[in-house]
Amino acid sequence: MLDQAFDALKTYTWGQDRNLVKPLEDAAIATRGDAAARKELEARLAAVLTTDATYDAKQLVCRLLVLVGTAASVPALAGLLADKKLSHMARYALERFAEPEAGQALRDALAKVGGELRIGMASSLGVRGEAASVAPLGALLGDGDVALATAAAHALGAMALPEASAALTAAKPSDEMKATVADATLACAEKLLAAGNKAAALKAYESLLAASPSEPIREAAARGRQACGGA
Amino acid sequence: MREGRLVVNAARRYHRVVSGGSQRVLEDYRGHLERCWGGELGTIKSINVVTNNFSSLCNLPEEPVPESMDWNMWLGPAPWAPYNASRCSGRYDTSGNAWRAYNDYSGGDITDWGAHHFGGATFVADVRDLQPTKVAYTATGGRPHISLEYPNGFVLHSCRPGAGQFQIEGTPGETRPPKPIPSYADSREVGAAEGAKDGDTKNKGKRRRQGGSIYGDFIECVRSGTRPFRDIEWAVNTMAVCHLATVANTLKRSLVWDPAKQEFPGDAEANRLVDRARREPWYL
Repeated sequence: MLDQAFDALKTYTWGQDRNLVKPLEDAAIATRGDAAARKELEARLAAVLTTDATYDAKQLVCRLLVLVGTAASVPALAGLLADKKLSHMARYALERFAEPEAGQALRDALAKVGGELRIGMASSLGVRGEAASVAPLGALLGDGDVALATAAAHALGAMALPEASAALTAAKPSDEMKATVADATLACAEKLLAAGNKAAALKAYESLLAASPSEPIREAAARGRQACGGA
Repeated sequence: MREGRLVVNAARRYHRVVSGGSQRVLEDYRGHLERCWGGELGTIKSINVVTNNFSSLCNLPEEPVPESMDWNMWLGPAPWAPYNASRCSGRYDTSGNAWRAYNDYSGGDITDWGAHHFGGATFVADVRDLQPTKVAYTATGGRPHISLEYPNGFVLHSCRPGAGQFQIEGTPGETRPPKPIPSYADSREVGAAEGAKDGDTKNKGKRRRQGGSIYGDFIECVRSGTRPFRDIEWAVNTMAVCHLATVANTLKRSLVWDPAKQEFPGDAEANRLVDRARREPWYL
């Protein structure tokens, strides 16, 4: 039945009977606890990504790899990150992998892709929250593409890392970017505080207060400083 | 799950009044509230609610995009998919042929009516501040039954076999001292009558029933700087119930949830389902 489903997957398109490929979805769940079966399933799914299977089929494979993918699938998924149509679906899987290889693939792609795809890479790296992503994201804070710089700021703000906070507070944002960077700094400080790193959070709040921020930012930073036990 | 926390965080960061969740919790479940908060049922052990289908993947075939529609914008952060009129239909239908039925856009009935029933049940049981820590999954005749246990021992059932809608299990023989039931901050009548639409001359000029509304509550809380009756955190906690049930149903197994860390401890597979990458240029 699984073999038939893989055969059907090669030419799978929207509008076809989903039962043709449902055994793949069932196997993704049923192989939990059976390492050999899951490894084989993952390998067969990842292999589809390097064929001329339909877009529809590859999208379904990416969805299934969210559940069964490991570092072994990263090369096949990474090969889609520069593909305008499939980049998102590759991130859909890679963003959720705990394996560091997934983060490296996204960082590699951030340096290579253009346009809106870079926004996608930046946002996924922020969600993953790896220290190795701070420098490449920090370098984008001054990018002339404001949409990309904004995405990079939010990505750093999503990280519970003192390095991310330091990158945000060290940034020299344009007037257009000031509110965005300040908001990201607040978000990052909240994460640091929640993680128990009061010192790093306090440093971020005091840095914001020293920069003559707008009233909402100043009030938020003052509340944050108070939460840290500061004045 | 992550999106909900971000909404709460933003509200708290800027000290803003954000109201959300079901508008029904005070009206539809008032009788249950009066019995439970009045203490006549003793300690509330469990409540069962009935929600129907979960959403599923949509694979409807491609149709021509109407000229008036920006299909890419409709899809927004969801994975790209071909246009089909039923995929984006706004009908109140979670069984198919409307966006609520498809898991790229909705959780289905578990998040649709679940938002109301779970919201009402968590209010009635007074666990609005909490999220469940254990999610038990079983299936009978192909129908999933999900039990969500709270840190205080209360259990919220979804589709418990043999149990009816909003079936409450109290503690026989026990009574508890009554508690005042929270209500809207604004008791004035605000706006047009329920169901009144633009141009609805029949209802024009009528006012909401006595006791205020979530809208008046919101406005009053903006004035006073206090948290609204349906504070966003309670809405997010309700949606956590819906999403935890969805993850259990997706994986066909029971789960353990850490509300403080917003993760399934030691469960890498389940943790992959607490968020989804958004299609560029959208992100959170």
